[in-house]
Amino acid sequence: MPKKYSIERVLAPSRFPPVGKFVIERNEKECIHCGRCTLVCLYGVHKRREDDPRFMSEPVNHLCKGCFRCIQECPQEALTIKNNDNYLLLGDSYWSPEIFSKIWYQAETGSIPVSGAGYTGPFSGEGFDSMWTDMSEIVRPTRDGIHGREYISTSVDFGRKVPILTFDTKGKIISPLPQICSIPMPIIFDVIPFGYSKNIYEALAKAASFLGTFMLIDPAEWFNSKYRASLVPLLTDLSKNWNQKFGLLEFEGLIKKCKMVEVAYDREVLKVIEEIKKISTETIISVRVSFGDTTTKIVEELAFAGAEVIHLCADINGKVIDSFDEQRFVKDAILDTHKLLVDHKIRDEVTLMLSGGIAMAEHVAKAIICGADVTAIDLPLLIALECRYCKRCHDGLSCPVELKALNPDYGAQRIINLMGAWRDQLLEVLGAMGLRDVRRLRGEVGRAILYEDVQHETFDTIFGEGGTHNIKSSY
Amino acid sequence: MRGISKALKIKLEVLLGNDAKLSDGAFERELYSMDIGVIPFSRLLFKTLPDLIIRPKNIEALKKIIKVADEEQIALFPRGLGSSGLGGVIPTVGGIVLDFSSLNEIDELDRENRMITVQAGARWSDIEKFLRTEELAMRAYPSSFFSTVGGWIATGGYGIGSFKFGHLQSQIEAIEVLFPSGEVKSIKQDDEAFSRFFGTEGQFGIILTATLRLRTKPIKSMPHLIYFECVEAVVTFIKDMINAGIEPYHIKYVDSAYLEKTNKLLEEKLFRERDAIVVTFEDAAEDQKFLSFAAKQGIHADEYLARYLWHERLFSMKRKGHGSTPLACEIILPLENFAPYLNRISQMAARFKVRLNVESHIIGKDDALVLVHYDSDVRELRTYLAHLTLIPLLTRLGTTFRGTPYGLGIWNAPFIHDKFDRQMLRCYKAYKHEVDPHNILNPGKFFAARTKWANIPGMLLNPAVFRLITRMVPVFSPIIAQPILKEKSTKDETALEKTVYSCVKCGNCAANCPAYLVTQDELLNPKNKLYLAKKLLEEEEIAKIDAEKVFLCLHCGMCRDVCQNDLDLLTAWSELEKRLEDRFGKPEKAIRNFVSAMEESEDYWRFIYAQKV
Repeated sequence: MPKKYSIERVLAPSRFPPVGKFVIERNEKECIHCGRCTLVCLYGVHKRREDDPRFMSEPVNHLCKGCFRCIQECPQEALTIKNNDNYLLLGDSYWSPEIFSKIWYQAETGSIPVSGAGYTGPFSGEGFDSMWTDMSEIVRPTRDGIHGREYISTSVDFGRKVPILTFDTKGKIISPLPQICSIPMPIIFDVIPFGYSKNIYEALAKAASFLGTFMLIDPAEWFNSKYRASLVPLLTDLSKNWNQKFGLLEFEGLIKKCKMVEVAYDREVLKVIEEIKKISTETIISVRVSFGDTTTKIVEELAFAGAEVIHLCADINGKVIDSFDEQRFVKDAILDTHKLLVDHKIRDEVTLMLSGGIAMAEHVAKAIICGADVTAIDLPLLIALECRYCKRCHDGLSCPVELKALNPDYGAQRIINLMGAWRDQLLEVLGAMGLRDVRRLRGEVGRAILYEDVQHETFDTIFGEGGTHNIKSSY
Repeated sequence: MRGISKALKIKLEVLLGNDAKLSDGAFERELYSMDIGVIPFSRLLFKTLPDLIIRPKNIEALKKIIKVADEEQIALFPRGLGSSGLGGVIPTVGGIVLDFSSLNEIDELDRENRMITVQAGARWSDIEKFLRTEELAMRAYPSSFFSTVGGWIATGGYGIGSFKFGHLQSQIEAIEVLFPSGEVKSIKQDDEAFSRFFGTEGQFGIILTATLRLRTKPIKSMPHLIYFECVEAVVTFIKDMINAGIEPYHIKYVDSAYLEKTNKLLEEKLFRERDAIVVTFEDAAEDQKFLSFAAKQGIHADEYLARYLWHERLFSMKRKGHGSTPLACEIILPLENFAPYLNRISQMAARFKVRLNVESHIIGKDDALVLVHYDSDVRELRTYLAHLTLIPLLTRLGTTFRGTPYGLGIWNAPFIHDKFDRQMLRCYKAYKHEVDPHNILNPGKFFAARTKWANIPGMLLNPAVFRLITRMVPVFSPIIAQPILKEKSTKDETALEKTVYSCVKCGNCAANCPAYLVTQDELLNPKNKLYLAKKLLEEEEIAKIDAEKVFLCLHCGMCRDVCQNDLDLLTAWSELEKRLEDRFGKPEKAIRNFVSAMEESEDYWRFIYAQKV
């Protein structure tokens, strides 16, 4: 059997103790070092001391899943468990503490996190949580697991695709084939929102290079030719310099070096694209467009103008940026955009990339179902490197996990681990849906069960069409 | 008596196989050459070092051993916890020590007839633990709560509850005895021979099992503490109470010195420093009767003080230690001579510059078991020896008040005529000759101490000679004895030093040590680790192999929980380990193996969870 793409994971223990959901306290006066807790704990919270196994080491709180086994079995009743206040204070309303603990776990182990006994909810919520996926073929992959005999591709392509191919009499393709490049998984690294430092960039670039994916980077911040195959320079304010002579010359080297570049959208963007293509026809160009009320128009314009990749961005919390509806979420925005291009029968010709608010592995699958070809992630990369999103660095204060002092190799491994775990989850979803290619998942809205649709189906017969808006916000 | 040849050791090893554990390590043998008494010259007089220690795991093994011993004429010294100080378990001529630690099973509980059959090595604490979930309880039990059933049968037989239930003999239904001939006999209470096995310190046979009579578990204990102006008033009160037909479970007398020390220990003047008694009832009606009786007599203390003293009944050695070596004398006295005896001994003690503490269990309508103890310090040898001579003096004085020594062992052997009358002694001697013709059981003690050097030093322990000596002692000893200067010795002591010299070797810790329980290794027994520490402190030679055993400890602290003297054992262990580590290094691998062996042991977990009440 041909070799499968798989991501090799290596345990990368956190440098700083992660903030766990629970705090286990051991009463030293009561503890008799009997070792019962070390035997009953499934998660490795309790260990004997390495240097002297007659004594117990401090409980590793962040590994605790709150199963209470140690509490119940301790013959001395020396252990107590409580919620960790610091855990509840992690992140914000969108970046919940659970997201942190799961990303930390995945970055450390590369394994899919298990939440414990049963799913405790929520069964619906805001953002990506207002959508479920239909996994009616769930029995299939369980036959021999996601790494079993089944071949499931997670590769995606960047670039323009021709709607039809023409052949000569000898059967040779004569229509011009645009440049295309593939990456093995539908996730690339977006520019990070903060925490700019050489070591972090190096770690991300190493990981991207290892995984064979892309990493967006502002070349003014950092660039290293060693990783050029994976780096996608983000060129901003190009059209401002456009009218000046040789405006793009300073980027010429970069453009030639890289497989793909990204330019920020403005009115003159088509001219910029033309100019870049003049420098290198082989370089794929992505246009970065912020989601807003005019997005559909812009996308339409770009798609028809022959754009190869359109990168649609929401803010860090997945909210649309320039819109009257401040609560509009990235999932709904991409769904509309996707549908528009489908209506125009041009959807397959352009690559849509989505970023903003992608915080968990399931969000990738959901974004793809809603019409994205590929997703770009930002904050999860920093969280994987132990960031607590405390925003102290925004105020110029010291970082509690000393991100700047990160060892790039170690950092890269944590990112690789995270991506490995995310890809596994994507494979699970694909397998459960009976799909063998993530490209088949794109725009597969038939697989999506949207909360609002369910609500309409259920209550419209009772309250009449539109009558359900009164109960809309009560998930 | 012959020594044990290498060939014989191998023979025993092959014969016993897995049915017994044999050990002959130098340090281990040394541990078995002692009991809780500290007698500096004992090694000069006797061959206290056994040749071999055997820990039989079943009665079959014991039978095989006794057969070989009788054939080869090897001396046998059965041993329980060794919590007496008279030398009853100490070898006198080398030979084999039979350690009963593994013969501690509870064979049968007969709920209907309220009886329990246990092996002789079972500890009283084991029985209590076993009965915790039952509706039954023990009748009387020794104040050495962690001592063995066999041990108490062979020695005194008086303890807590003796007032109500009398001597141990009356609460035992039957015993099984193994004779040197290899015969096992079940001896019932009504058998003529039955009483011969009580207090005769293993001269006639090895006690294998005992069937104890139990009682319905009392709902609660109701202790009362009453103060008196003088000892005479105490005796009068007790007699009046008995005459009034009141039947308490237990009566214990403590003197003012005892309460003074208790106050000192608690760092608060809680008790009046007077003569006092703790009268305990377990029957509500009797208790009511007592309350109305006692209302007009004496001064009653608060209930919690009475409860405290009642709780302390199992920690009789508690305030003896603290940087000093405790010395004690136990004697059974007629109640009417109780007061005059106490007055006389306090005068005598003053000459020896010691302060006596007196505790007494009233063991019936007429008798009291008197425990006189005082502090000395073996590190000041001259004074210690002088203090040591006070013990036979106290005993001798007791006999003049028609008292009898509580036990004989080695050191009280000169008092045998005071314990048994001529006729009885003759009967015992004849019986000994009949059942143990080769004198393999506990030779060289009890009937007559027989020492090394052709028994020439043993002449001193001859009753007549000894009597003469005790006449001279009051003249010379006080000249030699100096008051113990406590301040000097305790000031710069480390926790380990303090612990080592305060340990009274009661052995409570051994009963509560999971490491000892699982490994059954005598060197892991906390009190023995302290003995090793003592050798270390005194710069005696220690073998690395023995030192490494000290590290096999989980630092669980359960030894500390039952320590009579509240010794800071955990700190002591850490300090001892540190010192040994500096000298021999830390046996990392042994520690690792030990920890996993513990965790794999079912006995370990059973024990650990048994602690959870």
